[in-house]
Amino acid sequence: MTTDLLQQAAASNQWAAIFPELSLGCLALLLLGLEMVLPKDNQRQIPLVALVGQAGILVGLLINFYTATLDTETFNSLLRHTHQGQVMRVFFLVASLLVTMLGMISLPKQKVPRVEFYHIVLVISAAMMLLAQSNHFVMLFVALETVTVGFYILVSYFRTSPFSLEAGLKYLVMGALSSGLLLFGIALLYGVAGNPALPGHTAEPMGFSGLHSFLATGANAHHFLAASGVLLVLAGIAFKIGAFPFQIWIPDVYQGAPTPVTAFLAVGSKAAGFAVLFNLLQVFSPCSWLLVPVITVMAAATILFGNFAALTQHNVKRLLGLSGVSHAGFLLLGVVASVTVPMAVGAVHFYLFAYLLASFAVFGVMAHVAGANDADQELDHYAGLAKTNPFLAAVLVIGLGSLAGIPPLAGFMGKLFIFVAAFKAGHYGLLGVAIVGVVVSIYYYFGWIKAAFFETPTASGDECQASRPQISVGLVARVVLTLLAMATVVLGFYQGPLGVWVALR
Amino acid sequence: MHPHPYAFLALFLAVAVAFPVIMLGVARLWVVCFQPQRPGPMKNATYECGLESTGDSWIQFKAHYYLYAILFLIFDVELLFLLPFAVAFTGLPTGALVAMLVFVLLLVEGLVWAWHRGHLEWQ
Repeated sequence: MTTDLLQQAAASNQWAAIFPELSLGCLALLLLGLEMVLPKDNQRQIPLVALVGQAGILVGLLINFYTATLDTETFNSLLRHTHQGQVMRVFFLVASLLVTMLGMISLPKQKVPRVEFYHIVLVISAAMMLLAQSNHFVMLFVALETVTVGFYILVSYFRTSPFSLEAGLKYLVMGALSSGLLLFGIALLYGVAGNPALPGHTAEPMGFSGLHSFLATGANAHHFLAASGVLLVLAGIAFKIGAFPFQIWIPDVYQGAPTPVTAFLAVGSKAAGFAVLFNLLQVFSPCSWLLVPVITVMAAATILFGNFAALTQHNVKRLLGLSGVSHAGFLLLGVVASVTVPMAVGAVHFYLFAYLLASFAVFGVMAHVAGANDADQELDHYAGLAKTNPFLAAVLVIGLGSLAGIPPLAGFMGKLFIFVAAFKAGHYGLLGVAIVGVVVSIYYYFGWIKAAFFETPTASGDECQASRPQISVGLVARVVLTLLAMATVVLGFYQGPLGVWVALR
Repeated sequence: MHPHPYAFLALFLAVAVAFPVIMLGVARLWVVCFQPQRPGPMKNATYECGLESTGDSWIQFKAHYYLYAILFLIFDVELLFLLPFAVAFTGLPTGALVAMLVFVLLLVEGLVWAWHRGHLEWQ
């Protein structure tokens, strides 16, 4: 590359295209600055600054949803701005906004530094937004590592709790393994796509467009090294979304991580994995002879494993983690269908939004019910919740009902859209497995609801209730939880704007 | 006839095996011929940099040290980027200077934050 080319590249960098990410980064730095400047008694305002700042960025993003850079590539085609990318950007911003809110409920119960939590959440969501738009393996990997390293810190954030440290260590080891698999896949693809001896080799084998044109040439998609690379990259992504057989870290990490972080892992990290998967599926489309059967088997195994493993759980965080595995399976069903039915892409995005609303409603209730020991959240602790706090119980029912897919809540519509797409694509066997999974899932979700409504606190439960202070729900939390529950109900009846918005056709 | 392009690897392998075998063999030969076995407590003592090791090796290290290492990395990386920037400085536009300033300020914020949190004080 000559200096002229470099200068041209520098001149064509459109900073405005990543304005939301830049603002998130600046907001994150501002929080650290505020911590240094503000006196100790005023530091409670810092999370509010984070909330307001993120809300502002979200509004700005929604107003400028159809930007001038839509469907273009920026930064030397490191990034590609698509409609899907914009939808995922909004998704991650909403998720980080809600995680900040959960942090405001959960963190005061522990003796840990506060401000860094919000700082890291902001950095992670900025990296997730970049991840969803990456168009180059280097960009993808750097963004993914920023997300993962941030999560290493967040998972072990309650550093005095041995559970949290154990979860952090397990996540570190598993995360390193998945990054290794992903990198190995990328290296294989780089080597094979840049090999001058093969037809269609490209000078930019890391870029998605170059790689796609290479795979589409001749019999390259059936080249052994290319196919291995594609499979390894898929394995690396499967770790992030917690798909079978890479789901083994999920229960322990979800249990040990602080509740807001568990929510962020369950929603944000998973959605980031699916955003990447959709982008890569387009790049790897010539390899669909390999990907479709692999993802089909993976989806079926993930749905069955997640639901049957969740049946026996008593710790609610483990239960939500394993049910999250099954949700990843349903989403994978949509991913498989999207190869032939374009409508499935919108269906998966709708499902992700429904999952976000319902999950955060449930996690919001969990953050309130949790005591000082964050890893110790059993189903028994919910006994009698309907009597002691009817508001939280109502939110819990709506959230769990939506996760279970009870009509007419949003989760039901999400599942319906995905099943319709799978039916259109002709995956009848997988559809049968998914329906079995839904039926099984109703059992454990309703076990939880039963605990909250029909069980009275037992002896041990009494002890817990006595040792816990009365649950008080703050104003912000009350408003947000009400909004989440209402949105879950409304989206079940009327998908109008969101349905059109996620390009549901 | 050209040798196989990977023939030198075989040569490497042969040398790599032969070298220690010959060395150890010569040493062994020396022991057998000139050095009778006379073990004693001093001769059998563990030799570790001239000092006898004391205590358990499973001790707790001060985690504080790692903070210093990370803070050192800030300057390390800064230098790594500043050096090529300084070399090409005369040919760069104003934008590059601003970009570098932003980069340095980002690192400075990290340092100031750590300083403010008291991580630079050795307790």
